[in-house]
Amino acid sequence: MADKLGIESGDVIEIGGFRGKAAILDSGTEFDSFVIVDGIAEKSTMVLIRTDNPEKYRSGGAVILEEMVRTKFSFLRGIEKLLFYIAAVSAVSTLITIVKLSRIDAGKRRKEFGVMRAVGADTKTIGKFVFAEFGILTLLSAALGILLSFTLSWAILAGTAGTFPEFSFRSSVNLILLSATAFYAVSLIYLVESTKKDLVNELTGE
Amino acid sequence: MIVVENVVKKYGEFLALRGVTFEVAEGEWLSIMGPSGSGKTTLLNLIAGLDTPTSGKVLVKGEVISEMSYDERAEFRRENIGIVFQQFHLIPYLTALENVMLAQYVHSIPDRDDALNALRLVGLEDRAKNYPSQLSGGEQQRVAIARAMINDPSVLLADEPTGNLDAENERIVLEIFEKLKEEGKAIVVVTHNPEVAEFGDITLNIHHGVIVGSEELQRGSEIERHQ
Repeated sequence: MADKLGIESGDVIEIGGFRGKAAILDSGTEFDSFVIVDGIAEKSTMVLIRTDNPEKYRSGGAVILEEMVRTKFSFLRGIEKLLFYIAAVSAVSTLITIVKLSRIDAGKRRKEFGVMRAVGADTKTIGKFVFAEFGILTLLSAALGILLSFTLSWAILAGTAGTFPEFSFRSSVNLILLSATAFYAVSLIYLVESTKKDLVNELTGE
Repeated sequence: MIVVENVVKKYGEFLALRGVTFEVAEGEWLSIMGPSGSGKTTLLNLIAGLDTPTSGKVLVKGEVISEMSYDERAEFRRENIGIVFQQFHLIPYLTALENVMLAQYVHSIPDRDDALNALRLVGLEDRAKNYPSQLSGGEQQRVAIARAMINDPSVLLADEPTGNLDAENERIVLEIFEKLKEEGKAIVVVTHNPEVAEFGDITLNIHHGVIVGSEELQRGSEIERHQ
């Protein structure tokens, strides 16, 4: 019997400095439900036990796999946290930049909204115009995002792991929803600008 | 067609208009003259429903536009009023034809043939696919006139329509206005230029928000004089 990693029962394996023969009791790969029993170098047998209560094996010299990996790769958690904070700061600063740029652009488009008002567009008509525009932007950006992410994933996985990504319909829908949320949130800035009653000042002056 | 009754407009403490009253009939051309800051553009904005008076009334086609809401005035303007600005205000990323069709889109359903016909009437059918940046000032103004008139409004308001044009284009624009007047449109033109004002049936002179003079011109050969 071999597990999903291809380890056969009786293979000599080494995990985190523990060397021994593997006895595969179950080929499950649930990470936090395994303990390694007798996982010391002097012993010849290592047993992987899937359990909901790993603590009861601890007194028998068992090592909980998750703890072992967590300790050995604890630096990864630090990097993960750091990356998370960098991503969070990037996301917030990007959002602020987008909002600021949108406000500047909406300000530049005041004349355009003023022209629409002048030819008789009411708030509803301008709203429809803005929503249609942002709808097109949403679809274009989502299509581009899906295409780029799939292409890049394909290139990276093919180049490094020799495998190919599977197209995820759910992820694509999520990306479209995310784009739509972002674009329509930004479109509110334009809508607010278009309803200002001093738009006429952009068109006339004495 | 247009009735302005004792209109006062204040911006804070500044009195831009101090009780202005006049009327414009169907098929009549009113010129409004006055120095900068005299209130003439303010007056035009009030007639257009782009702004509301502090007191007094503005009626267009019997409707009190000055008492309508912001969106009601937009709807009224869509059906009844065309506006031409000194700076043309065409949308730069739309072609001449699309700029005209924008007004159709706002009004009802864009009709390419009607829009092309409007451009033909201002002599620009062959420039339909050009963007504003590819047109001269006079051509842009003619596109703006086509846009203003595409929905067949009864009233045409123009704020310094020839202010940025050379003599030849000024003549073309004024000829178009003449034709529209003959079709029965009420035309109000704000101008600094006495020669342009002479095309009107009546000229109002405004100074510090007050009408200081009104003259009914003996219309004759103004166009010929320009030519």
